[in-house]
Amino acid sequence: MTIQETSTALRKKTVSSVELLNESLGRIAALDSKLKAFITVSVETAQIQAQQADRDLADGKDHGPLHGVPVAVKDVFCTQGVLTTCGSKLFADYVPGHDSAVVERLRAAGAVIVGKTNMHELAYGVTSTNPHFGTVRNPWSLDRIAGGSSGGSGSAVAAGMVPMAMGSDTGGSIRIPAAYCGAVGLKPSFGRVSRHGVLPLDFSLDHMGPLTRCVRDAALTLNALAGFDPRDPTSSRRPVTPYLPSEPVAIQALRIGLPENFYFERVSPSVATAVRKAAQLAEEAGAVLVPVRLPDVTELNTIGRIILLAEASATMEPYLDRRGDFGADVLALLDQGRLLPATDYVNAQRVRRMLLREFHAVWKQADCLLTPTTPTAAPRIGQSTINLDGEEDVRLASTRLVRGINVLGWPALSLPCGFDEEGLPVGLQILAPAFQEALILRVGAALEDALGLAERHPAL
Amino acid sequence: MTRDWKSIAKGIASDIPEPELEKVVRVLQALEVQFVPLLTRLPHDAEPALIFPPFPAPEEMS
Repeated sequence: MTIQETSTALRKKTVSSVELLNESLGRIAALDSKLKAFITVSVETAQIQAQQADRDLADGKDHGPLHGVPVAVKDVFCTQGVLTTCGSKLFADYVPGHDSAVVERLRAAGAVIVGKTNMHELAYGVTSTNPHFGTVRNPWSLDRIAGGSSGGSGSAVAAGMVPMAMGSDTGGSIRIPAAYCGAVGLKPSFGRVSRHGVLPLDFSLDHMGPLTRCVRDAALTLNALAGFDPRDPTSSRRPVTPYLPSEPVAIQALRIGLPENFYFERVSPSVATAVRKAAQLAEEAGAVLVPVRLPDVTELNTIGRIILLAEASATMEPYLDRRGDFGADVLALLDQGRLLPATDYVNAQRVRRMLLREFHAVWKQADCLLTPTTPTAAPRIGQSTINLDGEEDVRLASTRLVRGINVLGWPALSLPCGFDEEGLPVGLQILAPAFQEALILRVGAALEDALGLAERHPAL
Repeated sequence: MTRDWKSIAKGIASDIPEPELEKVVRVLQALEVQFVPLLTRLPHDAEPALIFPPFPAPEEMS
């Protein structure tokens, strides 16, 4: 069930929060030995929360749409009294004494936190083949990666274990697993959702957001999460607007930009076809498709990589004498970042500012942009390259269409838009100016309705 | 001018084993080729992106 359906059922008393939790725990027990989507399942504390949610609702204390709904959070979010590993051997025994701001807000909204999802080690990678906690598998095909770094969240949502799981996104880590697992993934604008209490990877690129089974559930979750937090120095004071689109969803006369360059280059034909079909549906719904020529996205990606390498290595420097405690891929990235001169980092941030101005000009031509999320559907576990007009590292290919958006801080939404020839889900990405989350959620809801794919789930 | 990444590693990260260093250097060389030309577009007085506060105000972007 979606959050909306669950919320309605709870208020009609056709189901209780305890029953919903038991259903969720049952599904996790049945499937997680295959999927490895969870690192920790908090049965006892979740039961206490669910019982409290039922009592509160009976007493007329309604905390909103997430009230009594079982959810999960990536193991990068601190949870008081519950193991928070960041998918790493370094933090294998870390039990925080506090909740992250996201977890605080979820609890305040009445959500029942079922557990902590598996992820790429330290959120530093896109495969979620975690050497310490097992490889997360894709519910659509168990020999495929779930994507990452929020792979456990993508897998758990797609497999129907929970209707929402939180992720973090530094270079695509919410949107990539959403696309590969056939889920919806929302990366809000930088500063919209507090990073307080999240084990950091990259101070100026980390974003927090939900993975859900439908666009409206992402909107409902953002309603609960968005807002200023003085404990996060990058938190925005901009007012929060309601994110759930008004019904019926209207996108008439909206200018949807379709990039002429970069985003449809070196993309598999099935992905390009699915995204263009979605664009056509938007046009049929009254939107105006606008061809848009973008500044050089490759430059944006290069800057993103340098900032990521430098900031992540700075964050992890205290642990670098424990080389044996890192997976080989993560250690290689940390070593790369250690060697970068400080001048490169500062200059990358200078170029970033220059590119922010250049890319912002795009919004004179269009209200939002529609692109593929990833160039292909989910690669196989262990696959190292993708061949699209030449070989490309799986990690670079998976992040190619999403990484730059973290540099810009724009909000981005990925939602399923079709299936490839092997029956694997394909994702599209909607982009808008900073703090225009309501717009991308409205367009996403309209496309989701038109595509009619929200009811298709993997057969497990 | 390309950087001598191996010498940099010897100076500040001598614990990186040689076979791993080879791979690290290959990645950094490729990244350097993409990054350095960007600096030629950078005006002398260009400021870094603001991190605190996080995002340039809309009026600054117009």
